Amino acid sequence: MTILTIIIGALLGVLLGFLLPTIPYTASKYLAIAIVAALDSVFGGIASNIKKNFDLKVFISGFFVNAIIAMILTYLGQRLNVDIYLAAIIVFVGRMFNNLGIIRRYYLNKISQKFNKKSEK
Amino acid sequence: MTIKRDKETIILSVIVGIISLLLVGSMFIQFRAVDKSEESNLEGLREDELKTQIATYKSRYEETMEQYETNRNTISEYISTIAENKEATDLLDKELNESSMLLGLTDVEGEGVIITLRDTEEAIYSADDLLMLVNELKYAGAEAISINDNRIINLTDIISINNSFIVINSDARISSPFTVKAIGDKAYLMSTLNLKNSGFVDLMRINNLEVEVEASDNVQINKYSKPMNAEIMKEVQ
Repeated sequence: MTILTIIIGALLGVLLGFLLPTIPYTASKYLAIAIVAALDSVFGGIASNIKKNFDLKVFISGFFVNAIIAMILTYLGQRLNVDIYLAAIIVFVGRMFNNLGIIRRYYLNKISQKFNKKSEK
Repeated sequence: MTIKRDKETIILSVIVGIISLLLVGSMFIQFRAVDKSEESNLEGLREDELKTQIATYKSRYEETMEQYETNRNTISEYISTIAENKEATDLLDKELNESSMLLGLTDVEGEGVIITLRDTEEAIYSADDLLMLVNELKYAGAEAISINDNRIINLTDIISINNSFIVINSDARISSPFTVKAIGDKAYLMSTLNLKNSGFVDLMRINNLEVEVEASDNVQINKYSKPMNAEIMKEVQ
């Protein structure tokens, strides 16, 4: 069910992305950082799901608030002439790799366990 | 794989779906924005790209300026050459015009005298009389002379044929009344012609011929219109 809605949502998103008008280049910077933040939240969500401490509220709030705060920080950085968005990207991408590592190890364990079972039989 | 249909799972699925929709949608919007920005030049470029672009333009600008400078120098050279040529041409033109004027190849005007000669019942004008008049006019400084609108040039002949008619410039037959126009210092011309007893006017009047001399500020003399060829003579090298 969840996977199904994810696929449907993704397809609709592709459609939406092509139908909606393109945004100006200056705004695309903010959207980019928001996307990175959102991706970070998604990977965080998956990782926490694996760790069995997934909380929907935390996930949703993280998804939106992180994106918005990242955008605000980018704007602030632009006003201050400091590339704050670089820091945000480093943090988000670093966390993304962390979470990806957790996910990877989980599935590796799963697969190796399956192999072990097969070989035991 | 069984599909769970309890309330919690549905809510979770819907929310996750919406989130994936938002995420993928915004990603694709961004992809398009980036793609488009690559197409539409300068405005969409990143800072370092802009820097290289500016550097390229600057070097190109410098090259063009150099080229421009060279071209401008060449052009100014050409212009000065043209000016020099023009000067030479102008000088030649001026010389040519002067020569033509002196040779009698141009219409001329200026102060001078108009002399009208008429045959009378007692006597008629001969070619010799006309020659004498022309000679006197030349002596008095006339620069251009014509008889009945036949320009007198350095090669002009005035001859009488069988004492019956006068030919000027080899083929123009002229007869009384003769209108002789001369351009020159009118006072000098008048005084030379009107010399007592030995002047042309008195000499003719003694011979019962009619002479009228009239000074004018604007005498117009036509050009010599026949072709001039040098067939036999050659320039000495």
